[in-house]
Amino acid sequence: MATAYHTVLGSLPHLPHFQRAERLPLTRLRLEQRVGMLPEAQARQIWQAEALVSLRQAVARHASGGDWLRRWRRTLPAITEPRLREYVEYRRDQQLILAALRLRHQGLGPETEAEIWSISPRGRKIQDHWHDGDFRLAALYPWLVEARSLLERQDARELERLLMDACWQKLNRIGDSQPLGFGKVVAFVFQWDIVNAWLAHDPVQASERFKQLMGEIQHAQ
Amino acid sequence: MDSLIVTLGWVGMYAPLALGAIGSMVGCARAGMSACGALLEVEGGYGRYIGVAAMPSSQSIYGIVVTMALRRELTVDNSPGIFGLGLLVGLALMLSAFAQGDACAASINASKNKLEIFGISLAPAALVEGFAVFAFVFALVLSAGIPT
Repeated sequence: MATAYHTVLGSLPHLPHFQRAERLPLTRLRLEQRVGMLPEAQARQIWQAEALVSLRQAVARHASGGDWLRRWRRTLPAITEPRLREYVEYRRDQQLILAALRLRHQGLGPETEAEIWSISPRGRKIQDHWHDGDFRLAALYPWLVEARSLLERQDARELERLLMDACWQKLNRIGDSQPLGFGKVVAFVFQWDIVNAWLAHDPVQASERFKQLMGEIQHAQ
Repeated sequence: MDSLIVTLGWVGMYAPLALGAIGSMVGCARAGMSACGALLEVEGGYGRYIGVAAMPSSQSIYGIVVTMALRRELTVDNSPGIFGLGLLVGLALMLSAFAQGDACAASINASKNKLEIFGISLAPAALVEGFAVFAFVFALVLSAGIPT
């Protein structure tokens, strides 16, 4: 039967790849309004998931392993939509692998954050193969080897780009699996989040925004 | 047993219209909802999108014509043929209207971001229509062979 997905998808603009995007094609307010056309339970799950895995919010978040684990345990059971959960679990595993790479890079062992590995089936494998370069997970997460190399070179910007691109490709697959369904809406919302996070990192745009804000302040005075 | 066969004949006679109409309802709803979404995003050319959303309505018209072609006094001899032909062409029309609704929705989604592809983006929907026309024409041809 026909569903609200058709209306929501019809109302969403084209979203270019985050590295080619010059601006957000849709404001946050408009995005919320359009996702609000979905059934209430689905829209709620999208925002719950976004609070958990948003790349934009991750920039400002400095939570300990325990806080991270508690937040995941509290929110994950509420996310029951299969496509949304698929992405959320992908981001969880991405964050977990990154945490493992960072701990190992600092010369620490898996016992440092012993409790966090229980959140994902990948956690056991990470613990068991702590001294393998890729935790024997590179077949599942092809970005892992490059991420490790970038972490060792301390190239934070390129690492962020790599992780964003991995998420982007994952969302493309989720969207393509349901081109006129919920999966496509999930893909758009989280790709929008990636573009938003990437543009916030852009030094040229940041400089222009700063000048614009300064102009506004001077104009107001 | 005879009454069951004649009843199936009635089902077959009405199936092209009923199934075609069900398909058109769902197809037009899918494309129409997509068009409504697009209206939020575009600044003009609203009629274009609503026009595309009406494309799956043609299956109902084909269903009406086939039902009229199958209409005759039902007997034990002609009811099986009418049932088989009517039901199968009805299913073909219904599924083509579903598919066309999705193709129209995709066309609307694509062309609202890039107006110059509006015409070519309708090609998949036109192809789907072509298959509905095949089913329709051959139903008319074969209905002539069913005893009156």
